[in-house]
Amino acid sequence: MLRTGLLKIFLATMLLMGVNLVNAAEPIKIGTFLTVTGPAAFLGDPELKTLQMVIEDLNVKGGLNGRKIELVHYDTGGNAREALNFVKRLIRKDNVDIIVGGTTSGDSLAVILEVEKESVPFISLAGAVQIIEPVRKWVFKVAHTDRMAAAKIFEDLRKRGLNKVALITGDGGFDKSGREQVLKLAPEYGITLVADESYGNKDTDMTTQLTKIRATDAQAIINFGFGQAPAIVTKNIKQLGIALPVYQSHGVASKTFIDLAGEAAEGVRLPAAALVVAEQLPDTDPQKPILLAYKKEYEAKHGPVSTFGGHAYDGIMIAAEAIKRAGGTDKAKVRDEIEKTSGFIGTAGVFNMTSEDHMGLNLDAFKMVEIRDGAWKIVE
Amino acid sequence: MLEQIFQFLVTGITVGSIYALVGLGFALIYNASDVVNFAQGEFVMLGAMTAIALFGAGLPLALAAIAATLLTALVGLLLERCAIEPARGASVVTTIIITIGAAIFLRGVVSLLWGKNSLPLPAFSGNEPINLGGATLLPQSLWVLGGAVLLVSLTRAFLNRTLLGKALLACSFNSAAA
Repeated sequence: MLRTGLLKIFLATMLLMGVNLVNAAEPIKIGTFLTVTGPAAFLGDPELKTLQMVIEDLNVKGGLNGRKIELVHYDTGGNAREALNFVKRLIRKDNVDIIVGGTTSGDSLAVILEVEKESVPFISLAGAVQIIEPVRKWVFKVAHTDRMAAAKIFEDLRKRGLNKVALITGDGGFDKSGREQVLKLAPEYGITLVADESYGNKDTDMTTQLTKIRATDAQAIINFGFGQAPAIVTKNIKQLGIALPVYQSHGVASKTFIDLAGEAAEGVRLPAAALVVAEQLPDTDPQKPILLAYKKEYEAKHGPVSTFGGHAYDGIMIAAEAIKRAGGTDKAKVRDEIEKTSGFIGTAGVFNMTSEDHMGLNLDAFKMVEIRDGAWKIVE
Repeated sequence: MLEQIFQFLVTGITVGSIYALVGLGFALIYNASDVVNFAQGEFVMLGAMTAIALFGAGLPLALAAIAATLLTALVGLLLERCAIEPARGASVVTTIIITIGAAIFLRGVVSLLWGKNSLPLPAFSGNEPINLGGATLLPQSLWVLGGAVLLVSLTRAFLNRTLLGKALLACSFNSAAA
């Protein structure tokens, strides 16, 4: 009786020790949900590749706090309801320590209540300002907002002494949200909108709307959108012989836009992330080495970089630094450390988060670029 | 205001001419074979994509456009021989289903070959707009308008003046009697 009792105690001790041993070597689990397929795949695909690349690098260097990192990924296909289901699974079934993901604003906004309820730190990769406004305890984001883009354009207009602007936007989510920010911010910069036209993102001709704009006394044209529509708008402006300065949003900061709009793209200005013009930055720019290193590594493996992959880099690195500083994966501690992120140099800019600002980027994160001879040139 | 109306007119006629050309193809095919061709849009796309590919491969623009037209016609001919012809005498719904299938097939092949993104093709004679009493007109619009007028009148002449054209019309009216 006694012997079996002792044996039980012995076995129980071994079991506990065994559990402890497993615990020590248990990997840090980072959860992610991205839009790798579907219409927003060009955003989610580089994000996933970047996350995998960065985590592989970190693991080669020994992981974080002596623990390996494991990535748990689900593809939402751009469906916000799926996003919520996957986040529930990440939290309850996969027991992840932190979530870095949410390619589109729709996907990110859909899961906010859930991560708040379950108290899991979440770093979103999407653009909409509503993700961090109002500030929520467990939610952070790393991508530039549409408001910043609008503000950057208005700053440039003010510098050029232009104050009457015509706005033309598409009917997508990004377009509408951008339009809202432009309308909201314009009075603050003393800018009057003399036209507010819209088009369908699949339209092939926008000359009707632009003819109306031509009849106004606008001094510049702002177009918010992504995909082929802004390229058609840019071409149509040239075709109608409108000689006004044209501003596009960061949504077209890709080579495709220049290819599609061709000659008409010459002189078009837009706010773009530094990653697009990394080589042109002065050597004193603290971002330059980070940008070039990321660009080089990504391009060696996967082809041309995009700012979206850059967002994933920023998100995972901020999470990694916070886990390192917290000395473990205690969720509350990690959350506090993310909020304390300051002076972190990422691809999107220099992050200085506070309890009121869960993004921490300022307008310097955007560079105003102009298209000259089919290439981006910084114009500030 | 007058200036704007004039501009809308110019834009409207240009865009309308493009649709007229697409419609002409529709009408011809229907008249000659009683087939409602749901792949018509895909043939428009195929012509453009072939022209872009040939131009990209280094052919002069005019040659690329002509070669693309011929190649697209060839695809049309193949479609007729391989899919429509064997179904001769089938109901209208059957031929519609065949053309829808052809449309999906063509779209699939093109997106495999050249991707799903929009691609640019330069205008025939530059992008400098011509100013016409306040309205602007692209040289390309003139090509479109001229092309539409020419093709519509040629088709009309072909159907009403030539033996082959008359035979075609006769067949479509009553194939047994013809």
